[in-house]
Amino acid sequence: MAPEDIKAKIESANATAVQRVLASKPHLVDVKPAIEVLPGMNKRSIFHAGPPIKWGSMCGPMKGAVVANIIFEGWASSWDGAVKLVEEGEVELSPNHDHEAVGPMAGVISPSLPVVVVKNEKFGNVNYGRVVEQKVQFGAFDEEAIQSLQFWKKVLAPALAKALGRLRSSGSIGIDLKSIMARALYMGDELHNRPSAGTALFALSILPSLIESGEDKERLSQIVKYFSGNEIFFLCLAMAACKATMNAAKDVEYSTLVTVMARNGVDFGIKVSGLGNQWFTGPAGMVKGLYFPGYGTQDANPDMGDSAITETTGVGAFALANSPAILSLVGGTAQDAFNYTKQMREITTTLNDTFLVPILDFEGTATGIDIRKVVKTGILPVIDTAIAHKDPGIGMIGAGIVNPPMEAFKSALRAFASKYKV
Amino acid sequence: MAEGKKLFNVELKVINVGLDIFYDALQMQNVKAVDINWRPTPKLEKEIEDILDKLL
Repeated sequence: MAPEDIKAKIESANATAVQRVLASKPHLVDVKPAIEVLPGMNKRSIFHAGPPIKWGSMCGPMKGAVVANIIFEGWASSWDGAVKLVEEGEVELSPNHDHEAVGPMAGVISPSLPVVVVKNEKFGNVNYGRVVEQKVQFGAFDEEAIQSLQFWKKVLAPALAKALGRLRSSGSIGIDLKSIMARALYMGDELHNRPSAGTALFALSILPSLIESGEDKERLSQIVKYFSGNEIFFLCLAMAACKATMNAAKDVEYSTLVTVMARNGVDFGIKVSGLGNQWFTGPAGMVKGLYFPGYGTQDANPDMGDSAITETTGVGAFALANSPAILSLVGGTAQDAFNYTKQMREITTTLNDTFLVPILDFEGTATGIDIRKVVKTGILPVIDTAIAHKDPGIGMIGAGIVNPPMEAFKSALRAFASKYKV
Repeated sequence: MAEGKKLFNVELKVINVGLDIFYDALQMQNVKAVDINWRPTPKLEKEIEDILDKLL
């Protein structure tokens, strides 16, 4: 094919793919145990964040999260027992993204763990998000950590499912997550490390149905307290909404748009619309940021989690200019935040028509990362993220800014040239 | 030499291209400056350059 022809095909394919991103309408429709909804999950599956990785190569916090979920499922009662099960091949490990799902940090999903169910009402695809808590996803596996999963299973998930069922029975298609995300961006969120306004807006959206569904008063009180004590709550909904949005853009022949960026704490992986389900990987980077007292870079695990799906969709650090408040957590200046948001335009396809940046005269966030532009300019996508301790069982020790490895984008570019015989 | 002297006897107006550390230093000295966000394009492997020429 002549160079001008293939360039035109790519531009057309990217326009199609990014239009699907912009037109997507993700709605929260249900909360279900993973085994009931995740494609390919069986009764001894454990799914995890990032690209594929074997047990022996996993980082400390991801091993901790796997062990925590095994104990949560009742397959073993101790670290040693859980490790024995995995080493004997009794547990099947697989990436969330290969099963239509995403999970924060270690992102580990086991069969009876609840997942949020998000339907893209425009294109019909359904995607899933692991619930957010502040223990297991950072690698903790003690009793308190297991209890945080039990609370989701026994209290939050059934109540939210009942409330959403009530909404659906009254003719609603669910809770419009894109609308909440757009409003939260006006309220100081960037929707990755700061989903605080999103959590408040979601709580206000679901509360009437929670109350009307006849939820027990004591449970209702526990749930409201959970919302107010866990500002990060909305992250699982934002991530699932972003996954449902980006999945609508996958498998567009000739498209060079990135549809997935995800990390397992060892490798960083991307997927590209025109290249099917293939992962392209490079080493996960060290996050540059601020540490909690008593911790430093020597304690940090490399970059981890499926939460970079937010940046892939055009929020997260791509919307950092909206969220100066987050700089107290991740470090940097307001000017840095402004610069990141503007610089991402150089490697993307369009400006978002819904996720807007007031300080940039209400122009949209940069949306639709193009592997060609990343490699050509040398500008890597920017991600703001939490930092987990490198050892299992300790947890979050800070937050900061990180980039993917260029190697992943170059590998994808080579694969594109090979597939399309350039 | 004379021209150089003349330059520093009038108000400086600086356009900084690239590293913003120079812009920041000028700002701290109350010198009028604008900063152009620019970086040289990266040096790429020949094979990657050839692919990009065909795709972008």
